Amino acid sequence: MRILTEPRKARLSAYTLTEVMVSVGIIGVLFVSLYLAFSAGFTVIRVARENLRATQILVQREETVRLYTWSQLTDPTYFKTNFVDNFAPLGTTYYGNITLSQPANMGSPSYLSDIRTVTLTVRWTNSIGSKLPHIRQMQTQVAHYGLQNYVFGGTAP
Amino acid sequence: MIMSSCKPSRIAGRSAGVTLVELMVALGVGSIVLAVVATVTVFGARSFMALGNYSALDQQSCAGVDQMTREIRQATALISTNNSPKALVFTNANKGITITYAWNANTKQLTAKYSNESQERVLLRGCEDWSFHLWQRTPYSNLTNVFYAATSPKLCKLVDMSWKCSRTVGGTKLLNTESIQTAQIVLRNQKAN
Repeated sequence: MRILTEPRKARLSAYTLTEVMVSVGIIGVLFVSLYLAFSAGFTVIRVARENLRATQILVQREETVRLYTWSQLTDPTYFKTNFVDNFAPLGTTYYGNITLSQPANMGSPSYLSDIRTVTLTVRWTNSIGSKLPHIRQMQTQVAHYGLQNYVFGGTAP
Repeated sequence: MIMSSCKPSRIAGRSAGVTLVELMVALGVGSIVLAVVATVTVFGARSFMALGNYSALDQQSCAGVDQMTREIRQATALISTNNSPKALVFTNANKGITITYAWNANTKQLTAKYSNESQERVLLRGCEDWSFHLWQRTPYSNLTNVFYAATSPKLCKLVDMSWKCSRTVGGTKLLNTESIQTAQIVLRNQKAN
């Protein structure tokens, strides 16, 4: 009878250390991936909000570029090209600059020197995680003889 | 006889309950696991509510700024301003209408009222604050996109607005999400006086 009970006792015994360690490992991996999925989701939303803010900054800077007359815009001492803006809820600081250049891919028409491509750039780093640098650009063109009506109401400058 | 008397006692030993120590350990481990699961659930639920609120607020702000940008760009002049309640009145001479943007601090709504419509439209809900600054067309020298302040509505060429919208869940203690937006809009059809 005693001999018979030996195998039954072995069958009823608890998990081995190896089994427990394996299951703990699997559960650990599951939890870690759950948290990683959470944080990845938050990062995506955060980056999307930062992007949205960057777009707003670019649009609102671009909006006012056209209020400058040609001579003001092309005068580097008059039109300062660096600016700083921020996004208060996330504490993000955006560093921007505006560059004027000859338009590319236009050939060489006689009015080429009367057109400038305005490139607005903002850079910022993600304040969490890996401090990933971001950069966004927006471009528009301004013309020497195309602003009077907009700025001066039909009167030439 | 000894063997047969042993048999029931063995069975009784096997089917007996858990010891106090085992129970305490199991309770301890179980409560820790439950606490962790509860924390994760609450944290997750809060975070997802916050994300939902943020995207809804951003969507609302985007739609609001799009509509105001479109209308203010086409406006021919700013007629008047008011500080209490805060309001801006634009005219669009080409369409023959006036547009009034007003912020109500009690209902926390930013509304647009068109002279050719009887109903006003709600642009922003849950708007905690709405402020504006008015600028002339003349830029300051040696600065970037900084203009002289408009001393009267008719001089206004550029409107600078900012607003803050928020949503709370279960009062501010549980969750408070905020969205801040700024916009600079030029009255493109406004002519120099």
